Amino acid sequence: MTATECESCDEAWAYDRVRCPNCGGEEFESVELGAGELVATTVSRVTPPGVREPNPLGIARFGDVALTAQLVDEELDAGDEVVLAGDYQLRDGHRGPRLEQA
Amino acid sequence: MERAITIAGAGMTRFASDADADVRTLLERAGTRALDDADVAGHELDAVHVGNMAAEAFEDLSGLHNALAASLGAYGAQADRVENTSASGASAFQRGLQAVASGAADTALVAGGERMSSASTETATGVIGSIVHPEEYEYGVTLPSFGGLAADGYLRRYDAPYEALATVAAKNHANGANNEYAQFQKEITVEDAVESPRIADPLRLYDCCPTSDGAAALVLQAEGGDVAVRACESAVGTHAVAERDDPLEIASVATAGERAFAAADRDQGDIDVACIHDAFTVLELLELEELGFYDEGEAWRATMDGETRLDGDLPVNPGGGLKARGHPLGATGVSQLVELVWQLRGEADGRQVDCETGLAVNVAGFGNNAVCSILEENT
Repeated sequence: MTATECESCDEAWAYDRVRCPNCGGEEFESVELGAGELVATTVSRVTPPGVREPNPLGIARFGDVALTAQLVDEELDAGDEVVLAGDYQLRDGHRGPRLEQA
Repeated sequence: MERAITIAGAGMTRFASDADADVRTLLERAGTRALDDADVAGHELDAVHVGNMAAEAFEDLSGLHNALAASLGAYGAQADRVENTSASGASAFQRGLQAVASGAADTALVAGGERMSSASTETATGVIGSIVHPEEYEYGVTLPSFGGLAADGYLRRYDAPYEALATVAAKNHANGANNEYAQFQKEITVEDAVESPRIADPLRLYDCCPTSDGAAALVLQAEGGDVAVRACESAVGTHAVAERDDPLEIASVATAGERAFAAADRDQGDIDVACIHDAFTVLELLELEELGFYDEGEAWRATMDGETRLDGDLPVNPGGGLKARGHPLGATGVSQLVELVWQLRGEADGRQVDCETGLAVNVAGFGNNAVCSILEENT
């Protein structure tokens, strides 16, 4: 799993955007996320159609980049070291990585 | 603001889980009540601005502003609809205010409305869920799950008990019990909230606002109304929630609040009553801190000490808030201001607080955007 970094100013972010929020640059490169820390968790117990129920979720911070993602299970807790990895069914029609113990 | 703006009339429908009419009719009911309250005729309106998030998705309806203006006889008025998700109502208020402040209009009607019950739960969930970032959507993230993440972070960081959140719910239900326009007019105990089903840990059912039907409206005039608008300021925050420097930060609320206090030349100590966007109980605590009423990590204790009750130092959500009054998306921001108008006039029977100055904050999504307004008795 990768984040996006601006080639002009090195600002980094996880969520697709059309321009760099810092310098307005439009040339980006992908950078590896590496290991991060889980900062908050929840278990969503009422989920949209096509999404697992319950759906454990967490916010993880990887240096300057942070994101919300599904947790591999409910055992993960804030403070745990995590990686965004694997290939899971996230919701109907979408596959991708989950936060796993590093 | 270029010239002082006043509120001359206010009205709303009772918020309900399943109203007996479509959103156009709800807007007409609220609009005529506000016009009658102001003693203004439809043909005297120069501007009609409607806040609504998703009438196309909920009810297959568009053009609500033209339908409302024509029904009220406001031919020739400038009219449009403002969409800012769950802050559409306050954004329509800001638009109406700017119309009067600029001189484009002398008399404006601002109305907010939504009818959510007409869609299936699946459709409603899809509509509300569509406001998150596409990469959040892939993970099945819902608005309550953002509430759960923020509540987990808040309780953990400040070593606060879950009962702090339940106290917000119990307080707002107690206030709603005295508001004949509230969807829920029933008191609950802290224990009721503690025992209610889990929605997004640590949030439970009573931590979450309902889906609702309803409308609210205000008549704005350049002068003469009995309530003065001192400020209405808004700001955009991040789209993806995780992009915030801190998961407990809602920068849009802080920025809109700072701008409103500066524009009104007032500070936190001047505010006698506040309507806070409590879509989830934890949001009332976070927003009170972002607005500077309490230091970070202090709002929960103040709430448990009763400071935000009707008889406290800073009564918060005297009308029941989104929790008990209900949350018909586009109507909410206007209904907060209607409550402030009634409070400032001394007309809030059964829940009246002693006040001269009131503040409201209406939030879009989980802090994507916020609108903060300050109203005052026009002496």
